[in-house]
Amino acid sequence: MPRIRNLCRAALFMPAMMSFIIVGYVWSFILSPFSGGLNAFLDLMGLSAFKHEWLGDPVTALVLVAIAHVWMFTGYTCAIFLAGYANIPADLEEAARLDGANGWQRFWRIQLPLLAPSFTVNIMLSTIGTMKAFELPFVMTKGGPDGATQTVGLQIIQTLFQEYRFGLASALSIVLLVVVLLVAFVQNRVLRLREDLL
Amino acid sequence: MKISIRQTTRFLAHVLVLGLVAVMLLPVAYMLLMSFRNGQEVVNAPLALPEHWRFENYANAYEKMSYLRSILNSLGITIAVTIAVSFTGALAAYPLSRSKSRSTQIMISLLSLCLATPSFVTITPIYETFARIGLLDSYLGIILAFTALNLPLAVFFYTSFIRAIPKELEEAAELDGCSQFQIFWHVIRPLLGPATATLSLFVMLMVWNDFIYPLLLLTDDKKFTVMMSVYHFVGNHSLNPEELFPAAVLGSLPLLVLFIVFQRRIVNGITAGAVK
Repeated sequence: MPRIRNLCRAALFMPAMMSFIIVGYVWSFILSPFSGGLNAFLDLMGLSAFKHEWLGDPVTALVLVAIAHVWMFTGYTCAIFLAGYANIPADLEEAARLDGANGWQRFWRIQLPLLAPSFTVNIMLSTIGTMKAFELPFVMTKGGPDGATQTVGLQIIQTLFQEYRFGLASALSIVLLVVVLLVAFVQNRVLRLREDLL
Repeated sequence: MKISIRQTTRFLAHVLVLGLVAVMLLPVAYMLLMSFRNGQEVVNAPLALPEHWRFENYANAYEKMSYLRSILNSLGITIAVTIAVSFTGALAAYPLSRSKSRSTQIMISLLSLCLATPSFVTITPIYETFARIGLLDSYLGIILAFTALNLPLAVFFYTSFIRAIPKELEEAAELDGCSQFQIFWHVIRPLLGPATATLSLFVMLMVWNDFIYPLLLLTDDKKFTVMMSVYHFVGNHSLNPEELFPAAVLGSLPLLVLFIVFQRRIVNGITAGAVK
């Protein structure tokens, strides 16, 4: 069991060690309409009706940029949860088992509440990290189609690199910073409260 | 031999988990396999396995990316940034972890503000300043920028690490007549090894994977980091598989090899960093 756990942990963590640029390129190619892997896979499964220009449709483009993001950081999130699991005292688990709690009950009543600190860290890291995200849209869609995947971060980068409007870019960055800090502050308060209540 | 229901479900659960992990690894496998095929083959049969292993894709990418040169650039920048950031970070963290005055508290909350700041918030001021003092397109410039970006994390990291060091050590040194700096240098610094190792990981991840700062600060392709070379080689308009995938593999290779060798340490270090 520890062997399998370490193997899975390492395998899932791998994408987080890759660069956004490379992840963006690889996913763009997987999703490309003609020679991409996803459409070819659908063909293979006899599901040709579902073939799609994935990054050319505003709805699927946004969803798939998000999926690429999730793919990249699932292992990272898992590793934090695993560290949280390791902190749960073994005798609690043992006591619940002796009281006749089954696997589900132990998960819902004991492990989940005790994982509250890991939830706090993971939720905060992913919201803050995603709010300032711009890399994958930058590589995969350039914010398109029709602004569907435009993020504030990407807007800043474009203002900077394409329009060379340094003042405007700075102003946008400050606004984003304030929003991120506000959200982080509120989240931190709420999640800490939740930890105390559980 | 009898196999109980319990063991069977356990086995099935393991298979399920491994299956899900394998699905997560599909894009990586796809990247590896596609890197050995040429464009025509990919167009004709997008999901086929490589028929001929075209190592010439790699030779081509290696040469056009000036791979070795960019690896050395990234490595050199990582080492310089790690040294600069660990030295300044530890020096700043020592008083911050020992003093309990109000100004220290303010400094620490300012630092956590810096931690939450997206890195592109500081792009414009850094660019403008560097343009004026002539640090654009120089190794020194990019090293300074990355050092500044990593410094809040370093100070935070070292502060929590030094807090855990018992004060008795320092008191003994003080009785022996050591100055504050001598205490830091001879008592504290030798104990910081593990923290520095973890920190260098973060620095390394940033230097290898970040591309916005190099994109802005470096224009001479002799100074490019690995990701910059990948970006310049692959471009952003038409994706050509026989260039894209070998470049992607070569670009991720150094960190992935490092990761496979130091897997447990890296995961532990990064999660510990996040939890603190």
